[in-house]
Amino acid sequence: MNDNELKRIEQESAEVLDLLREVRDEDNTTVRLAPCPRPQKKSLRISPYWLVAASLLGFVLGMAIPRDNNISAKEYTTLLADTSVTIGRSLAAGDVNFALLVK
Amino acid sequence: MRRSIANTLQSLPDAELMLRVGQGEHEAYEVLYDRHARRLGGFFLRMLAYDTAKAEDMVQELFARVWTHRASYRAAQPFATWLYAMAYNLCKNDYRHEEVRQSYTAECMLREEPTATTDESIERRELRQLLRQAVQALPEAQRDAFLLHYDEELTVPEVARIVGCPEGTVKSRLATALTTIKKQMNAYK
Repeated sequence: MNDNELKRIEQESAEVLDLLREVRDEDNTTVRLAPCPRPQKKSLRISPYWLVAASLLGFVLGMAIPRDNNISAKEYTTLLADTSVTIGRSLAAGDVNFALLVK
Repeated sequence: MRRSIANTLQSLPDAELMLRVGQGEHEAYEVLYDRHARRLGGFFLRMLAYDTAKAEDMVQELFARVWTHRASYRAAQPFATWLYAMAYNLCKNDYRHEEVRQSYTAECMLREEPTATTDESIERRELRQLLRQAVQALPEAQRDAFLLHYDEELTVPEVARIVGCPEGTVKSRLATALTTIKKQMNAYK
């Protein structure tokens, strides 16, 4: 497609192009414009890496601080796994009614 | 003082204003919004098959992006190309082509038009409606090039850059689209 051919088609379609401008001008007035958007203030973003690091730190500190009922890391892991399995089974069996939790 | 700043900004070209926006000058951003928002609203309206609410949201979304990506603007690049490229990509991301297109005809007929008083204005109004429908019925690629070139008055190289295809392809899409529309309009007459 060369320029001359396109120009020829445009000249032949001058009436359509005039009408198109009319449509455009009419359409442009249809949209209701809201005020210019205000730039959003920068929100505090926490990287997921920081979250993981903070969790690990909490775990390490929690294990390091002596308590009366201290358990070993191995016992803790087993307990965590058992609890997760129990919760998982309850959820799978439909024992939890989420409708009651969400209000 | 504020008014004189606004007057100074009004006289600046888009590229200069955008560079100021890049430095965080919100007044320059407002001037750009006032200058381009209405036209872009119309562009979104046509690109999104006359979904008015969507078009209004898109204008807001676009200008929010202009602010967010202000640092990516380079003065060597024409502002209109940069802006329309962003607008075009927004439409592409959001497209709900088929369903919107299918509902277009009915919606278009329901649109409120100024009351026509003479036979001539009634006919003109019908012609405008017909033209809207003919443009919307074009294949997507042709319609995009057609709207960007003839409605938004972007040059063929600018359109080629925005839609990401060679200039020759844009020209042939324009010619085909124009020929199709002309045929439909002639058939109506």
